[in-house]
Amino acid sequence: MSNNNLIKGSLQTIILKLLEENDRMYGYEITQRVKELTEGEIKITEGALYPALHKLEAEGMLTTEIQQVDNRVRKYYSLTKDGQKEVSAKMSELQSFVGNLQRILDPGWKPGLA
Amino acid sequence: MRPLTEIELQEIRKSIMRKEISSAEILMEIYDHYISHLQEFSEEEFNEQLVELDQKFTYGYCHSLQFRFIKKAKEEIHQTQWMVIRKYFCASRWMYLVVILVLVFYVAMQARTEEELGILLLSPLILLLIANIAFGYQNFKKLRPIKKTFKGIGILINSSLALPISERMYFPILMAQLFVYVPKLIFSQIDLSPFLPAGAAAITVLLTLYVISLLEVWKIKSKTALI
Repeated sequence: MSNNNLIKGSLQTIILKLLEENDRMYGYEITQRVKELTEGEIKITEGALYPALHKLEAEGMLTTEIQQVDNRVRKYYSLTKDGQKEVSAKMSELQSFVGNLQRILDPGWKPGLA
Repeated sequence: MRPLTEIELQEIRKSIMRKEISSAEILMEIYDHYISHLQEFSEEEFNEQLVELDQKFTYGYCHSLQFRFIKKAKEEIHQTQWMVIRKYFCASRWMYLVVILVLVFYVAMQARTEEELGILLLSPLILLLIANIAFGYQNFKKLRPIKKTFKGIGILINSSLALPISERMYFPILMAQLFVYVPKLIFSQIDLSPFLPAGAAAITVLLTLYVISLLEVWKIKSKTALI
């Protein structure tokens, strides 16, 4: 599944969840982690990633840290307290959506059944 | 992952320079993304991957990213300053402010000439001037590595967060001029001298509050941004 439109709606949740599990991450690292976790099935495009990161930063969900790496400056993102609270809200929202989608696609499906 | 050669790094820089990005924050993020990505590929694949990256980070995309970032930076500085005024100056600190207000009013009442009142008004502006110099120096120091990397880019590289703070630093100077000259023009027939000490004291306190809140914004943002 590599439909960008499907990923777009859940991109913020993906970013927040990854940052919850990893203390801090930089842009490229996020794209690679998603690729690695989904075995290349989901590829986050740079075109969507950076606007999403900047939006979350402006909303106060993420904080940034600047660090000198080799001969360049790297911007690390990490969750703020508000961001930590938002992760669980976004996760239950997404899980509920996936559950509802499953019910539409397969009316015989019940939560908990494989 | 392999270290890139100097020639490859130059190719990356040239490629990014063509996008004419002036925001230091966007520039450093894109440069880091390019290097992190290209380090994963062999020398033979370098050119092909660089072209692929250029197709993702187009001129239009970079400028749209920069435009939105600058817009959000302005809003962020504005919101942070209000947050500082609301939260930082909580009940106990407002008590200090009242004490300062009383002191400033007392000093203003003791002033005998307009020049003495002028000096009183000037005091927060001097603080602002010192802050402005320190801000400029800190900004220069933080941007130096980026400017050095992209030497010869042909456009001025600036921190997107620095500009709204600089604008806010100049704002009180304009306001002070307005407070000094406008009453003289409008109320030229009326003798304003009895109101001058109180007016000067109120403006001094407001300016001081503004300057302190702006310094606090700088302190908060300097921990995480290029300012």
